Amino acid sequence: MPIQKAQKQRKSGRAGKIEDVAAATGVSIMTVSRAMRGVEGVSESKRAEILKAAKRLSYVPNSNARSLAVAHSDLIGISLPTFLDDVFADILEGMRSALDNAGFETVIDTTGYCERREEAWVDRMLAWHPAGVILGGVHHSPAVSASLKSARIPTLQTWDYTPDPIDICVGIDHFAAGGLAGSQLLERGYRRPGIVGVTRGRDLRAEARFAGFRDAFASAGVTDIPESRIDKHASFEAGMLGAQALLEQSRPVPDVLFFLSDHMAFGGLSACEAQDLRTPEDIGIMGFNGLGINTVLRRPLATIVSPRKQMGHLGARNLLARIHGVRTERHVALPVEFQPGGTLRSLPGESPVHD
Amino acid sequence: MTRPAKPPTMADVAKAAGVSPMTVSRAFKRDASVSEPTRRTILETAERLGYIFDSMAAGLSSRRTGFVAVTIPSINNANFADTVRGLVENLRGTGLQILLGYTDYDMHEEERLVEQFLTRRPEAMVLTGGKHTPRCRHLLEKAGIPIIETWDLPADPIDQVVGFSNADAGRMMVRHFVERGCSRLGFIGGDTTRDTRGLDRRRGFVDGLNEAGLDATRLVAAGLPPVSMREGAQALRDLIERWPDTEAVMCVSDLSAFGALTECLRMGIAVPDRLAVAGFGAYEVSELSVPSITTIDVHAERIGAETAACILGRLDDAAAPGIPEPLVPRLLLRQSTGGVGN
Repeated sequence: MPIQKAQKQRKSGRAGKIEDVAAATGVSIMTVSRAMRGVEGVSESKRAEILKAAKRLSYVPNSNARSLAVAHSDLIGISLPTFLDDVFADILEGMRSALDNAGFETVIDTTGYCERREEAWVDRMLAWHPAGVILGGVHHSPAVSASLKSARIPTLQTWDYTPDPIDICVGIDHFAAGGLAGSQLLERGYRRPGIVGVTRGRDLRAEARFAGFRDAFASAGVTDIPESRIDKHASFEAGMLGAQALLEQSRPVPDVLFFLSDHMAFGGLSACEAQDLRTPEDIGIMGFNGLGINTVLRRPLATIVSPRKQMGHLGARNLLARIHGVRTERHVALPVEFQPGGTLRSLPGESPVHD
Repeated sequence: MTRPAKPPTMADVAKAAGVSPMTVSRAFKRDASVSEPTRRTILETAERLGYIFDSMAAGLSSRRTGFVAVTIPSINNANFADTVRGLVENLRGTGLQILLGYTDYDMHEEERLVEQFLTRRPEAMVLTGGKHTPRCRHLLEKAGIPIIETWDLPADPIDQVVGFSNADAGRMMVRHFVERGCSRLGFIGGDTTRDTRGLDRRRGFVDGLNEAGLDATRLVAAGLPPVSMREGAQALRDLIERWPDTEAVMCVSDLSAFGALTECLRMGIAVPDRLAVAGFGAYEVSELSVPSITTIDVHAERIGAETAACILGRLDDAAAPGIPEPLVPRLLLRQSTGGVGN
């Protein structure tokens, strides 16, 4: 096989083998194995000597072999639909201390919103016998759910919410969050909203928010809501192009735009400014998430803040409970919060946000 | 979920399908010695029982695991995301899967991750940066697989490198500022040893100042990496408070530059007339910001694409190619330093 040939030719040589460690310390292979696995039958001083030799010789126990013998592992697999925004970074940051303190390592795959890739990833993870699995979102192929259920791996679904998780879930209800956005805009007198998102079906959380948003407006008799869908990785540019399209094509011109994220909203705000539309006088802008950009803008975006770090923290805590066989809440929907910012008409008694 | 009964084993599948465990294993490995109807029966039985074929156990004999391990410092950094995208897109269809570990800019965490990955026998390993703990370096040297260091230009590479000189990027910005007639120059960030590439950019910036005979003390700390927009804004305030006559500032990344720029607007400091502001990394926000931000493009996605080409070349052909040419960072002139552009 080519790779093995390549290995032989590398000047850096091969990984140390268990036999090398045994020879260097004058013990049997079985004793090295026992020492590495931390099981009984090796004195503490001998164990220290063996571990030192293993380090020196770059011997790494092959966990492929090891995982056949022991059921537990210190690995947690994480599958994210994307990491092109701050959302999952914040969730993982919220998880980090809990997982680190408990001695777990994490490996991540980004599935690019592709079910087949997630299936392949789950197959690999299960072969590695992880202590737990974390999935971004709650929409998975039946094969993924079935595999995880039958392997009985503690599994946390996060960012989205379902009352019927594979195992446990800590997230937010995106339909309700979109509904909150809609009702806040209605209260401020907006009646001609437009929606700016990405290609339909790529971000299922956003689709749920848009559905909740439409639902809120429908209850006030507004049913004709134009949408602009942009197929771009770059979120600022997508927001700008989406806003441009709605401003040019929708008649009457929308009085407020609801964006998939704050970054898209910032792009949309630039598009409005480029057309000499004043915000909030001529058009309202609303984002989603409460991202870092909102901490430096002179006029912060109106947005719905998602509790991402808290979600990560609670999710990790509950997953660790599951790994240790402790009962925990099966599903938790965390509350979101509306922030008026400075890009919407204010309500009577509400002071507009400027610096 | 109550505590598990044991997951089904290969022996369970063999029994239910009326074949030997060896035949089950062969069926999963698509061994030609198993007839198609038998294979189908076995796979259906396995599916029904919820049995997962342990490809790692199979990997023990064949030594192919089909994955490439990648370490990145941070997952919300659009630059590294672009590199990973370049890598993923260029490995598509090759059967190689990417698994990521993030180090949080911590060399010891990198060491732990590398060890974790190596126990699972990746086909190749990609690292962000060229500085590692001695033990991590030793493990990598002994791993016997292609090792590719990226985003850096280490003097003593472990194996292959796809990167650029961060110090040159800092020096490049000094030249640009001097050409614009600025002589009192500051730098925001790059102050912690955690982000060694940011530190290198600042070092190059300071070297450039010294070479030009300029004051090289206007360096402002911005906190632990990744430096946020808000920290960039705070650092700009600190800079102006200490050295009010500063004429130009480079920030360790475009995110901090955007924060610094918004702070200038808030403080009534005209950009670029009174203070020129530049960033690094060609993040999207630098292009859309008003004024747009001068930055340095390091071809993040191309780093990923070239890394993929390196890996494929090495796995296909034992005669490994030499170290590819370093990428050359490119200065993007924009409004925030009085350059052209939108």
